[in-house]
This record gives sequence, structure tokens and C-alpha cells, in this order.
Amino acid sequence: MPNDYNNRLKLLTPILALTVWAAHFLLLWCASSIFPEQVLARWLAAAFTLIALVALYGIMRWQAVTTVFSIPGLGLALSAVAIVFTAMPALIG
Amino acid sequence: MKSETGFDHSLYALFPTHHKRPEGEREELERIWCKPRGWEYLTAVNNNYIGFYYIATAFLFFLLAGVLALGMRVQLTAPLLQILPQETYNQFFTMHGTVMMFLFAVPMVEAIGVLLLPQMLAARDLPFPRLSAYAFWAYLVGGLCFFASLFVGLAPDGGWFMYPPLTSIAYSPGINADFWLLGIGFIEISAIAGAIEIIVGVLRTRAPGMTLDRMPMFAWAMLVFAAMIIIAFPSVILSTLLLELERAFNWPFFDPTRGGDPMLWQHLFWFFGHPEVYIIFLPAAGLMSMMVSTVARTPLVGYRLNVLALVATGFISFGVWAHHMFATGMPRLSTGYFSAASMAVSLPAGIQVFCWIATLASGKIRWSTPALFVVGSVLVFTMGGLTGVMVGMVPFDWQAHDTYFIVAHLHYVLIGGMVFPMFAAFYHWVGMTSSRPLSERVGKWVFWLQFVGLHVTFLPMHLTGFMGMPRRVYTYMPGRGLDLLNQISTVGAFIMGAGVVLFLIDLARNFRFTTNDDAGNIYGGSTLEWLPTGLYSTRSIPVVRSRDPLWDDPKICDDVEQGRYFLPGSVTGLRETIVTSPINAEPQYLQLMPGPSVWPLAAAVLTAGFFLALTVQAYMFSAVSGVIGLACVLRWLWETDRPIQQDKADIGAGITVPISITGPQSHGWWALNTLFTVMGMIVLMGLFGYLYLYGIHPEVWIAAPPVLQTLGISLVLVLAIVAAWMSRRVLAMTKRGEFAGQGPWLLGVLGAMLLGAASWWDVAGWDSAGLDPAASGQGATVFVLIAFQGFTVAIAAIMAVYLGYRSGKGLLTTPTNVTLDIVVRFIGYTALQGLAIVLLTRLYPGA
Repeated sequence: MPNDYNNRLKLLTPILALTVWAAHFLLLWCASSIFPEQVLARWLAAAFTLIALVALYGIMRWQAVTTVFSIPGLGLALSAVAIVFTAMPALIG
Repeated sequence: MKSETGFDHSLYALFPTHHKRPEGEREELERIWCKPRGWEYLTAVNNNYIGFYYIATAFLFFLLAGVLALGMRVQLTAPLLQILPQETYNQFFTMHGTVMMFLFAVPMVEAIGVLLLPQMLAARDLPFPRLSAYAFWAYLVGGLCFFASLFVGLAPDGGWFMYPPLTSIAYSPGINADFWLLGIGFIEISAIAGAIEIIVGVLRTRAPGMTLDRMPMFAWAMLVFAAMIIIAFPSVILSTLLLELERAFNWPFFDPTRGGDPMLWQHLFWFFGHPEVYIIFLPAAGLMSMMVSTVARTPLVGYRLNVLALVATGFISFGVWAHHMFATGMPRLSTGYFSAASMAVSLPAGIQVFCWIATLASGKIRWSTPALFVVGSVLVFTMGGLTGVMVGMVPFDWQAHDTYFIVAHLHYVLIGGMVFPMFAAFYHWVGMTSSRPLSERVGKWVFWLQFVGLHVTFLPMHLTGFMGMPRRVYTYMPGRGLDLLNQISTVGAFIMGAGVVLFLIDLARNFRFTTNDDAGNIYGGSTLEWLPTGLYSTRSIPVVRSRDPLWDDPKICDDVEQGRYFLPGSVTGLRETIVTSPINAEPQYLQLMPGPSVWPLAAAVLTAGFFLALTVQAYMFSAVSGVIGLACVLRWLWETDRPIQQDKADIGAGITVPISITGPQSHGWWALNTLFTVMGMIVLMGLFGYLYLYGIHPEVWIAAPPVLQTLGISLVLVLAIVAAWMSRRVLAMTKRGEFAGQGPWLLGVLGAMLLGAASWWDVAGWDSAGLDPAASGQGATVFVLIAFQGFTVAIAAIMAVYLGYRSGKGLLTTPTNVTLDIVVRFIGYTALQGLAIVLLTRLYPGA
């Protein structure tokens, strides 16, 4: 790093990815609260999960992330895992 | 990659400079940043003093809450003891939890930030020193008054989470609950003030060259911590306001018989309450990351991973609030989501723990007292984290809920995650503020007593919890196998207490507060706080070329001390620091900083008087305190934003920057945006409450006023924005140094008047539609949103009048002015906030 005064820590991608996670989580919770114990809530969860994963893919393309072994890549991976994991109760619960 | 601001990076090569510095430069710095004497200690605003006061006060509350804990343990030593009567026991556990969470944990980490951050970032001070002083004095006065309620039997007794209906006026008719609601609401305002200071400080006052990638881990942690406070704390401020309004004016937010719902409290409270755990943990994790590196004498393994983990924890911790509500009968799917998120949050926390372990494993550990606390902390926090994953599973939580298993879990997490790192930090950083280090030998005893005491106290509680012993009950029945385990826990608590007493003895023997003759870098830390410092922080502000500058550049201490870097003296003869860009930390301008003042103290005391008088229903006294308090705030602001002759400053090596600018590049702009985020979150949570209650009780909803009226109110609010924008335009069209006339401030006043008119129209409209705040949840939520808007409008009006007064005194500089900039942006924000409230409450299909 010596004598390089430009920031090398790329946090925009992880922050965008985690924002997608947050939106996905809140939508899932809203659906399950508005349609309690109804199958519709599960279908909505599946739909929101697909949309969230597509959004992550879009971020990956936009930010030109090519490897998971980088902070942007790990941020995307972490968010993807959290999104799929959060949706699990709707799919198998 | 290009420069962020147009600053030429090759200029950094000019440092360290080689010219001889002028005589008397350092002496002038010492004169400007002089030491207070006598009563002046009350007016000090410098971070060295405020940070120290803050830490001492937070530690006092830790001791007080610890004494309460010992009292409870004595009561539980044997079944059916009557040492503490039931009512007193209820007050003890409520105050223990409340004081530990609100008066110790959050203020302590904020205090450590106030003390360490300026030196760590090589800034002269935090950007708003008087705000820091106000936050501290408000916390001290409010906290002491709050704690004193215990001595007159008026302490809150409904648990630290104050669930209604137990805390509603029907079941808690005294003023005990009011002490909690108003006291905590007030103290949280102080925490938010501190958070704004920290966000702007970390992002805008770093030493040149300290890119985000070179920031000390503690600064990263404090940045995430402060951002979380900004998002989470408005929720608890709103919830305390709602419950107080229900108790005082019978507005039924939480009364299900009139369209309210007690679950709304739980959502609002835990939306703050669970992130609060991470708000406490993350700064301690930042301290840990720095100490681990020093202890192991090697750079932190996985610096960027650690930053990612901090940010991810900050996000995911907002998805776990309802895991405190698994037993409330939420929809099954919802509990599943929160359970999954509760497990997911352990991923980033795990990353941090593995980074620490890897660092310790890759370096050569020196087994000093901080090292013992650091390693103990990793162990204890991991144990607490594992039981956290257990209670994150819904069926397990149903079994363990409200038992001593949870008490054990949360103490392992909080002591491992915050208390041990705090003691480690005391030993590690004491050399910055004391002329003598603390004793290593005694420190090791302190650690072992606390470590052993912790396990003796809380390990048995897992078993008593499994055996069904409920929390928050003042006794238990004999013959259920609980006696011995409780006796062991009590012994353990006193062993821990002995550790704390030993620490106090060590402090008394060795700690000698100093600002210029400190013991120094005892453990060989690598970051800038270990540069030689005075009250002005470092003599000159270095160019940062790596994450561990003191290890990588052995000459840096001498060069900084000889004034060979930025700002080696005072350019204007005033207190000043360099404001840098948020990402690359490129020098942007010179900020003039306010000096000591009695007004923050006076404002804090009177704000506390305002809230405390409300608690005891002394409304006239409260109103008078509020008005005088406001006058004090305006008086303190009066001395800021003064016109100065000089508009550019040489900050070293011939590099010149402007002095005190306005607009998006200015630090004040960032602070105001942060405040808008806080206010926006309060409104957002209020709107959530509105929608939530509609979802639960749509049958009590009435139709909204006519759409045409809604459009009319919206138009008035848009006109207010136009007036504010015009105000700035008129000023901008005036030539530098010329008088702008009466236009700018009059347009500001017009904007505020339009805001007031819109609010009045909104209230009248709902009133004529037949909405009564005491009749239904809809009425209560609509009117509380309007009341908040009215409060904001009142502030905007006061600001506009203040602007007019400054204009009359010739303080309205042209073509830009910081005060005007703030006032017109506040008016614009208030109009947008009003639009959001009006449109959602009136156009939402449920209405």
C-alpha cells in the first residue's frame, strides 16, 4: 500500500447487496404478517427471493465482480446466503 | 483512480518538510488549546476532558448497577428470603438492566470514542466539541436524577423493556414508569448527539492520506456503531413518547380495546433493543481488533474481512428484533424468518472471531493484562454466542424463554463482548491519559477474579434456567434443587465484585490524570493515538501512508512533534482542524472550532429540568426550563459562524485550502443530513405504527378528510420549499461582502409560516372529519405524527427568527452563509416530512 493515496477498500458492492438482503427480509416479514398462515405468503416469499437473487446478479454484473475471493465478491456471497437462508422457512418450514 | 477532490497526491511527497519551524509556534498552540483552571473545568469542551468525564461517569453507573446486581444475588442466595421486598426487588432488576444498557454500555463505548478518536485520526478534536459537551452534561445530569429515583422508592419497576399493558396507567399508576420513559427518552437524545459527532468526525476529520482502507479498526467500528444508533434509537425515542402520551393523555396506542396493540410496543422497542446488543458489541470488537494486533505484535489478519464483518453485522442485526417475541404468538412463518436471520448474524460475528484467533496464532503473544482480557473475551463471547444460536431456534426459545438460561446467555454475550474488552482497553490505553500505567500484577488478579467469578455466577444459571427458574421473580420455593446452584451464583457474583474492587484500588494507587505528561505507548501500539500529544492533539497532522504508521515509519513521532507535517501551528490564531474528504481523506478546508463555553452545560441542565419536571407533572417549571434551555442553545450557536477576514489558509508546505465552507463539501452539511436521518426514522417508525394498527384493528378506522384538502395542504408545503430555495438564491446573487437586504431571512420566515399553516390545516381537517386522538389507534397515531410535525415546524420557525436576528446584527455573510444554509435546508426537510405524513395518512386506502 505505500504511497498509494486512493482508497482500495470496495464497500459499495457489499452495502448494495446487504441492502437487497434488508429489503428482501422486510418484504418477507410483511407478507407473512399480512397473510398469516396462508400459502400466499410462501409464494410471495419465493417470488421475492427470486427477485432478490436477480438483483444480486445485476449488482454483480454492474460492479464487474468476477471472483468471490474479494470483498465485493464476499459481500455478494454473504448476502446471497443470508437471502436463501432467510427464505428457507417459507419453502421447507 | 482519480483524486476524490482534485487534490494532487504528489503534494504528499513534500512531507515531512525540512524547514525549521518558527519560534513560538508550539507555545501559541498551547495558548490556544490551554488547560482549564478551577471552574473552567465545567466549561471545557476539549475531547481530552469530555472523554475522560464521560468514561468516569459511565464507569460510575457500571459500579452502581453492579451493586444492584449484588443486592439481587444476596436476595436469591436462599429460597424465601426477605432481604429485598418484592417491590424493591422489581425496582432493582429494572434499574440494573436499564442502567447497564442505557447509562453504562452505550455511553461507555461512546465515551471511549470521544477520548480516542481525535488522536487516532490525528484531528485536533471532534468536529462539534460543544455538542460533545452538551451530550455529556445531559447524560450526567439526566442519568444521576434517573438513578436517584431509586432512593425515594420511585424507580421504574416494569423491567428494562417496560412492556405495556404492565406499564400502562391501569397497572402502573405511579410515576415510576414515567421516570423511565422520560429519563430514557432524554438520555437517548444525548446518545444520538454523540453519534452525529462520531459519524462526521470519522468521515471528515481523518489525517490526510488515511483512506478508508487505512482507518484504524476502532474508527470503523465507531462509524458502524454510530450509523446503527442513528437508525435504531429513533425507534425507542418514539416508543417512549407513545407510551408516555398514552399514560398522560389516554391516547390508546397500546390499548387493544380502542384499536391499539401492545405488540406495537414490542416491535418498536426491539427494533432498537436487539441492534442495541450489536451497538454495544461492535465498538468493543473494534477495540479488540486493535489490541489483538498489538498483543500479538503483528498486523491484524483479515483487516478488510473484519470491515466487511462489521458492516454486515450492522445490517443483519436489524433483522433479528422479533426473536425476542417468539413466545408472543406471531405467525409461524414470521418466527421462521427471524430465527433464520438470528443464525445468519452469527456469520459475520464469526468472521471477526476467526480473524482475532488467526492474528493471535500468527503473532507472538505477550501475556500482559490486556492480552488476558482479550483472550478471555474471545472465549466468553463465543460461549455466549453459541447459546445465542440455541435460543435463536424457536422451539428451544419457547422452553428457555424468560428463564435464567436467558440471563446466563445475555451476560456471557455482554460481559464477553463488551465488559472484558473495556477492561482490556483501560489497561491498554491508560498510558494516554495517566502519567503512570496501571499495575500489571494487580491487573492479572483483576482478570482472573472476574473470569472465574463470571463462570461461577453464570454457568449454573444455565441449569437453573433448564430447571424452570423464571427471571424477574424475587424468590423461589425450597426443595426444587435450586438452592445450591443459586448459592454458587451468589458466591460467583461476589468474586466478580472483588475483581472490580481490586481494579478500583489499582486505579486509586496508579491512575493520575494528565494531558501532557502521559505514560505513553506502554504496549507498543501502531496507530496515531500513540504519537506525542497535548490538548491540541498532535503538534502537526501527519500524512498517513499505511495502516500501522508507527510500526512502518519509526521517524514519524519525531517528525510530527517537530511540526514537519500539516498544520504545525495555528493559521488563524483560533482553534482549528483540517477537514478531509470522506473516502481518500484529501485535505479540503480548515474548520474553525469553538472554544470552551458554559452554554452547553447550562443547556444540558435545563433540558434535564424540562424532562424531569414533566415526569412530576410540574408543567410550568418544565416550560420555563425548556424556553431558557433553548435560549442557551441559541447563545452557544451565536458564537459560531462568525465572519472572518481571512478566506484561505496555508496548512503546510505551501498548500492552501479555504476556511469554513458551506454546501455538500462541508462537515455541517453532513451533520444536518445525519440529523434528518434521525428525524426521518422517527416518522418512518410512526408511519409503521399507523399501518400496523390498521392491520390489527381496521374496524375502528374512519374515512380521511376530502382529497382536495389534502392537495391544498400539499401545495402549501411545496410553497414552503420554494420560499426556502428562494432565500438561498437571493443570498447567492449578492456580491461578496455586500449586504443581502431583508430578503433572505424574510423568505425563511415565510417558509416557516407556510409550514405552520399546513400543519394547522391538517389538524383542522382531521378534527372536522371526527378523528379523536383518545378514541382510537388511528386517531392516536395520526395526531402523534402531526404533533411531531408541529414540533419540527416550531423549531424551523425559531431558526428562521434567529436567522433574522443574525441578519440584523450583520452576521449574514454573502454570497454563502452556513446559518442560512442550515435554516433553509431544515425548512425544506420539514416540508418533505410533512408531505410524507399528510399523503400517507390521508391517501392510504385504509383511511
